[in-house]
Amino acid sequence: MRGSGPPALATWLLERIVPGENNEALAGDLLEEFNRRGSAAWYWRQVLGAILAGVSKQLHAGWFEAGCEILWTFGFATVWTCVVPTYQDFMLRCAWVQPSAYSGLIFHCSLFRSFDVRIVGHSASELELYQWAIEIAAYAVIVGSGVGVYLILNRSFSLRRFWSGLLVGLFVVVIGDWVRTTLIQEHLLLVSRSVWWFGWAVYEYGFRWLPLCLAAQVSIWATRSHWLQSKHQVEI
Amino acid sequence: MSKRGYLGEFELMVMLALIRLSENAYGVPISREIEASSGREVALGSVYAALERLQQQGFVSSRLGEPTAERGGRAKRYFRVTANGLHEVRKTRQTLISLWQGLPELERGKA
Repeated sequence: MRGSGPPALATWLLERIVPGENNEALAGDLLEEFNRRGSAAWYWRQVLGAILAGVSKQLHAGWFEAGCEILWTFGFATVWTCVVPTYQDFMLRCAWVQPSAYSGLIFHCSLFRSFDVRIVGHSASELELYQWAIEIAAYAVIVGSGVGVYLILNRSFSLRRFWSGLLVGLFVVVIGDWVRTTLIQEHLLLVSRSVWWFGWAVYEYGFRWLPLCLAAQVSIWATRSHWLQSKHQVEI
Repeated sequence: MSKRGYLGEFELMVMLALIRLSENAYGVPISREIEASSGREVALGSVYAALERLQQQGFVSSRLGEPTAERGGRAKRYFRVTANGLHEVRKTRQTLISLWQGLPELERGKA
C-alpha cells in the first residue's frame, strides 16, 4: 500500500459524474490499480476516460433524453443571457452594498427605502466580500431556477437533488464568471480584441452564455449522479 | 439480445479475456489481460462500458463480491460469459476466419 491516496478531486468527480450501476466496482478497481502503479497521472487519465465513456454511453442509450437535455440547457442559457442585464439592473437598484462616509457599509435598497442596514467599521476587503456574497446569491437564483424547473418538469424533484444540482452549478457559474471578468477582461485584456473580432453583441452575450450553459448541464448531471441513488456511500 | 448480431473489436477482446480468466474476471485482471495482449493502456471505464453493453445483450452475467480494505471498502464485480455469449464468440470467430481466408496479401505478411 502507498502512503498517499489517489487525487481526491478525481475520486470526487468519478463518484458523482460517472453514471451506471458499476460505478462502485469501477472506483474500487481504480483504487486497487492505483495502489500498484502509484501514478496520479494514470489515475486522472482513467477517471477522465471513465467520464467520457459514461457520457458517451448515456448519449447512445438515451439520445432523445440527451437531446432534450441539450435543448433545455441551450434554452436556459439563452433566456438568462438575455434577461441578465435587466436582472443585474434590478439587483443594483434593489440591494447593493455601498461604502459610507463613516468607513462603514450600507446595505442599500432603493426600491424599499426603509431597508437600509448600516454596518460600521468594515474594511474595503470586507466590502468586496459582501459584494461577492450578493453576486453569488444572484447566481444562486439563476442556477436554482434552472435546476428547480428542470426537476419539476422531469418529475424527479427532491430537495437533495435540488441542492446537489444548485451547489455544483453555482460552483461552475462562479468560476466561469471569474474567468470572464477577472482573467479575460482584467488580466488578459482580451475585451477590446474580442469585441473587434466578434462584435460587441457576440462578446457580451457569448461570454455570458457559455458559463450558464455549462453550469446548467453540469447541474443536471449532478442531480442524476450515482451517489444520490446509492444507499451506501463509501469514502476512501 | 444483440441488436447488431456481431461483436465489436473491443467487445471481442473483453469476451476473450473473460473466457481466459474464468472465475477471477473483474475489472483489473480484465484490463491487464487486454493490455498484455494489445500492448496499449486500457481505460477501465471503457472496459466497464463494454461489459455493460455485453450484459444488456445477454452475453455476460455478473455478481458482486465482498468489499475489501484494499479497495476502500468497495466490492468487486465479477463477470462471466453466458452460453449466449459463448455462442456469439464462436460465431464471430467463424466470420473472421472465413473473411481472413483467401487473402494472399495478408498470408504473405504484407500490410
